Amino acid sequence: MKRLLAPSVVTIAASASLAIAATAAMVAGCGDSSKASPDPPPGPGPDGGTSAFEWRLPVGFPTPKVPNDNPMTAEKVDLGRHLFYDTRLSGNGTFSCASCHEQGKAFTDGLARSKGSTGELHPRGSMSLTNVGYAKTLTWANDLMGTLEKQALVPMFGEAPIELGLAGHQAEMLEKLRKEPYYQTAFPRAFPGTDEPFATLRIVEALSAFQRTLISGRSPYDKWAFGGEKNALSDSAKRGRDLFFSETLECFHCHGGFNFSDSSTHTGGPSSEGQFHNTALYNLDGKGAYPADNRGLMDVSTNPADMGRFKAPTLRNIAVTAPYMHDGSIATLEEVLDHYAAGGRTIKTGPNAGDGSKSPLKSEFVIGFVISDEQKRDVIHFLESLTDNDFLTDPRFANPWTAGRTP
Amino acid sequence: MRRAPLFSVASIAFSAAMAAILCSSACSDDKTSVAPPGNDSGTPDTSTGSSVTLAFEARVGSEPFKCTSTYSKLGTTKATLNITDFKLFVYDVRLVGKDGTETPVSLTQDQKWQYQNVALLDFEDRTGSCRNGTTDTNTKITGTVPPGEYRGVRFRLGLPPALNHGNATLAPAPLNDEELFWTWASGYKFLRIDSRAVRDDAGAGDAGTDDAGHGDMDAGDGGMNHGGNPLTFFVHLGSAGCKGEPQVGEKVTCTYRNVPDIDLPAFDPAKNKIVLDYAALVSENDVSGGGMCMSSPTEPRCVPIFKHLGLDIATGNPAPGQTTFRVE
Repeated sequence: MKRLLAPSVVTIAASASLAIAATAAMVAGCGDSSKASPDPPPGPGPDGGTSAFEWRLPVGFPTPKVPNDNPMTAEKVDLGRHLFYDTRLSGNGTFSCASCHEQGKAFTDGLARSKGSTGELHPRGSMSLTNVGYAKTLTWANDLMGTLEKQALVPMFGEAPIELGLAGHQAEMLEKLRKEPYYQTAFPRAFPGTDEPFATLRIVEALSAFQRTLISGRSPYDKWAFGGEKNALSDSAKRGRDLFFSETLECFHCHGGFNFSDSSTHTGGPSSEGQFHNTALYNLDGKGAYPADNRGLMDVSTNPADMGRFKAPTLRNIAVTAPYMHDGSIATLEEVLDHYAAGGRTIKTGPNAGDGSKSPLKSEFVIGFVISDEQKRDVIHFLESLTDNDFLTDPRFANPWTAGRTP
Repeated sequence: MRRAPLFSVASIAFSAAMAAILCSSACSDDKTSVAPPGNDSGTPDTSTGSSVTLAFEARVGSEPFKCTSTYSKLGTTKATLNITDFKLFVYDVRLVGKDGTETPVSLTQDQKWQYQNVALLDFEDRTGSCRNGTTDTNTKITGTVPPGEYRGVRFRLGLPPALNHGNATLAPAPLNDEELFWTWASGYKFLRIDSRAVRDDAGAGDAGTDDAGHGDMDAGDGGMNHGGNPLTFFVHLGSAGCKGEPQVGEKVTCTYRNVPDIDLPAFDPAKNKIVLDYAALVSENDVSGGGMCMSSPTEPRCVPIFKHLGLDIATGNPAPGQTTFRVE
C-alpha cells in the first residue's frame, strides 16, 4: 500500500481491511511532509519574483498534480485568490467564482441547482472545491475536463447555461482588471517575464493555482485516524465508519481513498466502471434514462452506456454541502442513505417517474442494503466527522478584498 | 449592397476590370478563369497564384441577416424571432476545375480572420439583438489560387482536428474568439447561430435594445428545461464524443467529427456569392424557444439541422442533401 500512496498518487481502498491498512500507510509514509494545523502562506519573494509555494499538506496527503506549464508560486496563488473573489470576472459585474463557491459551505452554494450571473438556472448544482486539486476530472461528468486551467473557461465563457457570462466581454474584462491597482502589481509579479500578463491565460493559471491550495484534511476524522487523537471521534461515528467501509453498504468503492472519491488518479481500483457511476436516481423509460438536461457522461461521450454516469464527489465536508446529488434532488444525508439503501430511487409521478432500482445502467455497487435508524445515525455521524472547520474558516481561502474595496 | 459585385476575382497583376474583361472574353458561363499574375501567356504560375475573394452572405430566407431585424414565419411553428449571433469557421477551401479536380485556396494570413487554412465568418456586428458580439464583421474569404479555369467551390464547415483541440487561451486569431470556445466538449463551436423568439407572452420584444448582455433573461425557477432559456434556440455545431487530453500530450479523437463538406458546383467568385440561409437550416425545427441543438447525436432537434447542413447524424460524416448553403 505504501507504493500506492506515493506523492500525487491517490488510491482507493479495495476493502475495509485494506482501507485500514491504507490509513496506516498514510500515517507512516507521509508524516514528515505535513503539519497538524494550517500555517500562514509564505510571503512574496523579496525581489518581487516568484517564490516557491509550500503546500503544508495534512498528514497522509500526497502532493496534488500540477501542470508543468503552471508551477505553483505564492504570488500566483495570491493573485488567484483575488480573482476568485472578483466580480469583474463576470459579464455584468455581479458574480465571481465565489458566488457559487462559498467557503463556509465548502465552496458550494447551498442551492439544488446554481444560478448564473444573469439568473439563468444551471441544470446542476455547484460542486464543492474541497481538494479539487486532486480531482482527476473536473465538473460532475466530463472525462475531457482534465485540468483546472481548462475547466475555468467553462464558467467564464460558457453560454448554455450562462455562468459568469464573459463571452463577448473578454476584452472589456481585461481592461477592468488593468485598472485595478492591486492587479497592476500582482499580475506582473505572478507572471514575471511575460510580455502581457493581463491575459485570460494568466487568469486561469492563477485561479487554478489558488484552487489547488484548497486542501481539506484536518477534520475530526483525520485527527482520530492520523493525528492520534483518540477522542476526536465519537463511538457512534466510529461505528458509522465501520459501516461506511463495509461490503454491506459499499460506500467506499466510489468514495474511497484519502479523499473519499474515486475520481482521482489511482491504480488498481476495484471499480471496472472507472470514475463515473450511475447511482439509479432516475429510470424514465425502464432502460435507465435520466432527464434530458442531465444525462451525465453521455452528454460528453455520446455513448448511450454512459447515461446517468456522474463523478463520485469527495465526501470531505459533505455535511455542509446540502442539497445532494448532481441536481440537488436529495435534500439531506439521511435521504441519501435511504436512496442507497433502496438500491435506487423510485419517483412515483411526474415527468421523472420511474423506478431507479430497476435501472439496467445502475452501478453494481448500488444494490441496496438494510440499515437501522441507529446505524443510519452512525453513518451520518461519521460523515459529519469529515467536516473540517479549519478549512471552512481558513483566512488563506477567504475573500481578500477588504470591506468597501470589494470590486 | 448585397447585389453589388463587390467581390470579384482579381489577379495580382491585372486590375479587377482587366480580369473582368479577360473573363468575359475567355470564359464560358459556368466556369471562372483566374488569370496568372504578370503572365499573359497562359502558363500557370503556381508559385504565387492569383488573388481570389469568396463573398458570403448571411440570409434568413430572402432577407439579409441583420442584428436589428426581426424575422417571422420560421420553422415548423412559424416563429417570430431575432438572431443574436451568427458565426462560423470555414476551412479547406477549394476551387473545382472543369474536370472536377480540386485546387486549394491559399488563405491570406491576415492575423485577424484567417489562420492557416481556416477563416472565421462573422456576420453579427453587436447591434440590435447581438448583444455579446463584436462590432467587426467578416463576410469574405481571401486568398490565392494557381491560375486556371474553375467552375465550383468546396469548403468544410468547421476546424481541422489539429486546430480544434488546442489551448484556446493561447490560440491566435481568429481562434481566440471566446464566443466560439466549446471547452466542455474539448473544442470549438464550428457554427453558432442563436435566436431568441419574440413572443407577446414573454416580454421578449426588447431583445434588440438591451445592451446588458443576457441580463434580462429572467427565467426563474422552473422556467428552464432541457432547451435552456424558454425563448432561445441555439444551433451550435461542433465535434462530439471526443476523447483525449491534449494538455498531457494525448491525441484527441472524436467519434463524431461533424464537419460538413459543402460542394457548390456552379460558382464564379467574380459573379456569385455564397448564401448561408438560417431559414433553410431550421426549416424543420421548432424555433419558438426552449430548445437547442448542441451537436449531440441523440438530440432529436439535431436530426433535421444536421440534414440541412449535409451531415449524417449517425456517423458525423458528410452526407449529401445540405440546403443551408447556396450560390446566388
